[in-house]
Amino acid sequence: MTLRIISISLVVLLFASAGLVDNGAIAQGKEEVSVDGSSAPEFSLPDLKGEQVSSDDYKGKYVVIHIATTWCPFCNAEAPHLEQLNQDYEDKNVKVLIIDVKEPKDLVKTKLKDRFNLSFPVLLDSDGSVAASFAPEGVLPDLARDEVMLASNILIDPDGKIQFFSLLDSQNFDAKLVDLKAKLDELLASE
Amino acid sequence: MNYLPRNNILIFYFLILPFTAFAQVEERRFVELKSEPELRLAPGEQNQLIVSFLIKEGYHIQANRVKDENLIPTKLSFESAEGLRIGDPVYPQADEFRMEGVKEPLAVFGDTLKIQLPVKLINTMGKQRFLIKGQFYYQPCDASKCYYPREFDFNLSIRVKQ
Repeated sequence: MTLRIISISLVVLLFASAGLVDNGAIAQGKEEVSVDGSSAPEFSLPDLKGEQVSSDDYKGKYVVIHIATTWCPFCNAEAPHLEQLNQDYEDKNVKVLIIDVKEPKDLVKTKLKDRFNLSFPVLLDSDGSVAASFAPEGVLPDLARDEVMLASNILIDPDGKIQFFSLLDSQNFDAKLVDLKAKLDELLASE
Repeated sequence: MNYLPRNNILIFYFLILPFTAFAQVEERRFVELKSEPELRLAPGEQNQLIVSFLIKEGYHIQANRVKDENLIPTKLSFESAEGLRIGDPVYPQADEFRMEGVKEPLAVFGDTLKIQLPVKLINTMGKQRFLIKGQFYYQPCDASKCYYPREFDFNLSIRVKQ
């Protein structure tokens, strides 16, 4: 009886291990990452003025979220285009947010908000937990969950569903947000 | 009586399972020390110690001088050691790297990074060998993503010529 249980345990362990390896391999392929249509995680974070901003504040609106750090060249390249998107779409029920990860307020204000003259809120995710909450399970398992999300773009619809999700770990960096805007235009046109 | 071994096996199973997961998810490494840096010096002698790092294929790190002030420059530092004078590191010329969508090329290091370090043995302090702690601070990127800055701790060895 004991031998049988040991055998079953070993077989289960073997399959569990194989499953982990397999999931990791699948996760590396960007084509496999699909979170579109899933519910966006809720969050509540302070902005640079110290006021709390919640995902509930954006219910009924389209929200474009960019996960950033000041030292990320992709984020810096994208910042002016996010500002442009904010201006171009602000009267179309679209809001833009940057969630800065693990950086102090003064640094973010100087090197991101002021440098790029951003007119939309920049929120401070001081422990990276909100960024991590957006990370698809199993993707890039050798990186911290918040690190996976750096320089990502997310589009959330008025019902709180993710409609566009781009991890930057692709060979086609889209600083001008061409793909995201195309999806946004498609959604706005279908209303 | 029959339940005791089964319970033990189940406990073993639940204890071992998380470790099998950790064993297969290694943290990504971007930079390695090529070999432990070592130099032999006579008292009063000064020479250059070469500290070589291997930057993994497909990645680069920001140079010691960055064009964009927002980026984080590479920095090699050492703890001070009585009897030794360690000068400022001399970094090689940076490469230019053009990132998709980023206007200005970035100043980066890739492949093998050799940093020269002037070291002078002022006083042996009665030692045959000095072991100095060094720290390498860098921000890695690849063609399409940048990662959190990382620290890399290592030792350099200065042996006294007899």
